[in-house]
Amino acid sequence: MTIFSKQTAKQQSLTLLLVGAAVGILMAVSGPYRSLTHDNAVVAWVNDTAIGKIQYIQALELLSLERRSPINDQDRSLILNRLIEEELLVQKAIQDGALRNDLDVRQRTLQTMLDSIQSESIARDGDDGESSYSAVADYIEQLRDDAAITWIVEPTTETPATKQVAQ
Amino acid sequence: MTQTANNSNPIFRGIFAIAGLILVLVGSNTQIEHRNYPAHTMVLVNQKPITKATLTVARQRSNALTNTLQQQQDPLLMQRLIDDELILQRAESLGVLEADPGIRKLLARSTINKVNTESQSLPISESQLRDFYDNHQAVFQTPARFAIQAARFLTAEEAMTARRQILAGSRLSETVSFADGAVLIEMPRSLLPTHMLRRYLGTGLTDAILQLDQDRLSQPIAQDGGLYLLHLLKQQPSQVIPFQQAQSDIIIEFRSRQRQSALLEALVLYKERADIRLNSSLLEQLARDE
Repeated sequence: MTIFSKQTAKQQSLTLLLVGAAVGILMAVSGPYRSLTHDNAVVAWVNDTAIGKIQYIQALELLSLERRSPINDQDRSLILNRLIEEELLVQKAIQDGALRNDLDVRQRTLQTMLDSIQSESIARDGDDGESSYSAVADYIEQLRDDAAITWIVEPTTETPATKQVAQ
Repeated sequence: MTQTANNSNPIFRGIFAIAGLILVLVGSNTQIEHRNYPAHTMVLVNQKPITKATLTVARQRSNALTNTLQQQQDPLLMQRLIDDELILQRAESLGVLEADPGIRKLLARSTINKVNTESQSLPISESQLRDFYDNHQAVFQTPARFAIQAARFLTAEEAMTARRQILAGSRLSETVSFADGAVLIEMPRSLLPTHMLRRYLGTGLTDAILQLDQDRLSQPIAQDGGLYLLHLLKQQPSQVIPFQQAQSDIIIEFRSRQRQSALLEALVLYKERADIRLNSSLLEQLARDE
């Protein structure tokens, strides 16, 4: 193989490398490809969260029940805007840690999860208080087993505040 | 030189590949300890901190009555907080927050409350209140009130006859008794604000009353297949409440509008920062299908 042909081969491989890198960067930047116009179940995306067609239609139906006149373009736009705003408020709350900081959200979420576990247990084993309690305990035990729990301060040895109160 | 470079390429590639593999192997078995948890963190549950502040809130909410009991209960409370945290994490991973309508409402409410609280923490100066009062005089005035008598007649002749009798000194209630099918509209004789008049008489007749002067009698007004006579007995004009007297109402109204404005501004900001894409073709199709 001549020096000339080696250089040509190097140039080709370099070109391929650059093209590959460019494609990779583009794919990384653009994220998963999603064709919005061909999705017939979604009316809008808000930061990658879908607002479904069913959700939109239900909201329109609720409005039409309150209105005597038929729904117009302005109403449709209002409903869509409200759904988008609700989604933005929800996302902002999650981002701000409302799940842990807002007592109402925290309690409601815990209750929803516990209800769900108990419902599954009742559906499986019948309406038995003992078994649904046991189902919750088993579920939590499973979560504990899978978790990484790192103690920074043990509750019995900590807290100047507690010591102060105890004095 | 070129020859040397060509020969060394596979060697370098091999070294880089081995280095990369070592990094992957070491990285997969190394637990990286991020010391970026908040101060007063007591325990990390899957890297999520439970702080002393959380324990304090849990203590306050528990049924502990004495300090001794509180200390004894701390390990139990911590275990409860850890279990709660595990369930919350599970809820997050299952997407319960986004899917459950009740939780969604609470989340939206949480953001609104936060925006409200932030806006309410801003101090209000006297000059701000004064400007607000000056620019919203209509809000800080007692409404105009009207004492009205109204009657409905079947024919224009009867209505005109009744009108002449009233102008000659009779009362509307007396004239009604002489006209066949005429009725006096049942409503209080006391002074009523406009919104109450609308409740008794509807918008059209109320608008006609607003055009009348005191002690004036309307011409017969055709409405709903009848003819109405409206007699304005007494009128009390609206009065602006002085600034000092209205100050507490001004603060309440100012705060209320401040909250609305803060929420609108926040929503505008969230929209600007968000990636919002509409499925225009589906929206158009749904509009057509209705």
